[in-house]
Amino acid sequence: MSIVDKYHQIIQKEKVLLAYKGCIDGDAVTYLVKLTEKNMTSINEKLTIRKKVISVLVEAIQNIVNYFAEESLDKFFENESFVIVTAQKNQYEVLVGNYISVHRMRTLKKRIDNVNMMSSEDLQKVYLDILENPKVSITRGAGLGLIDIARRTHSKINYSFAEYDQDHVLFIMSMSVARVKHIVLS
Amino acid sequence: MKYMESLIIESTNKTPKVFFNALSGKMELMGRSIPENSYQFYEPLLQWLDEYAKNPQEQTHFIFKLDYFNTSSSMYILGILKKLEKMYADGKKVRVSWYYDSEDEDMLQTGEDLRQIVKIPIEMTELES
Repeated sequence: MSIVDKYHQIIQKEKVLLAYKGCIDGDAVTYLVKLTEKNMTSINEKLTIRKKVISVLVEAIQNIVNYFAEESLDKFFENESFVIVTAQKNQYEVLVGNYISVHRMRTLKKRIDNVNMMSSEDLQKVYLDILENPKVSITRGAGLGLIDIARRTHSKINYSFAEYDQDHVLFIMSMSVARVKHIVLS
Repeated sequence: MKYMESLIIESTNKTPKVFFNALSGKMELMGRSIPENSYQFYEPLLQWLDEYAKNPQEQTHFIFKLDYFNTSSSMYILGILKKLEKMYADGKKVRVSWYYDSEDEDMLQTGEDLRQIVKIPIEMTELES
């Protein structure tokens, strides 16, 4: 199979709406948001779902921008970030990946596990607490971005870490947005 | 009497249009707000509001007509509401309108959330999509 066929097959099979690999900085955020929006509009996606996907995408990729602004890793690592958005039948998947330090992995794992354990009521409460008092985010062990993603998607945040060398790991996080309206069961 | 200047900033890919009219007391924030550095964008707005609050108009009407915003903007949006809340507590007439797209449950929810935090009436207004 030729390389063209190989990639085309993956794009078709996984229903890739957008795929990017490289440095994710402020400019890249602008383009990625624009293209994702454009591609969702061309498949006639509903405004409300488009907004949800964009919100999740923005939080996820700005996490990467902020991370590299805070912690200076070798330029090689910065250029290895990636984002993939797929449009499956019932949901959109937003998958982001970037290299982080091992030290960061521990806090991140704790944060995501924390968010994943919260019920929607907990998420709502903690969200309001942090909004009102940003310092709470340190003591509650979660940042507003991850909580916002969990609130909007009504689903767990999937993640994995792959060891690169003794100081760095590749962090991959994936979030899904349902294409049908979320129904709250009471 | 010296009037303060209005604050008008055109929208960009990441920041909303700002139309703060010092003479009419009408202020609008429209579009999307997803800057990486929210402080840089919002700090001048908060400073302007501080200045305005010293000598506000008979009635102040603040309109939020946002498509979407990131979490770092949400802190500053709350900051704006806190300033309006203070004016309101000082006995000034302040109205806040929060527009949301009729299908946009998240934007409605955010408006409701903010309404829980600040002690100021916020009118929720549905936009037809």
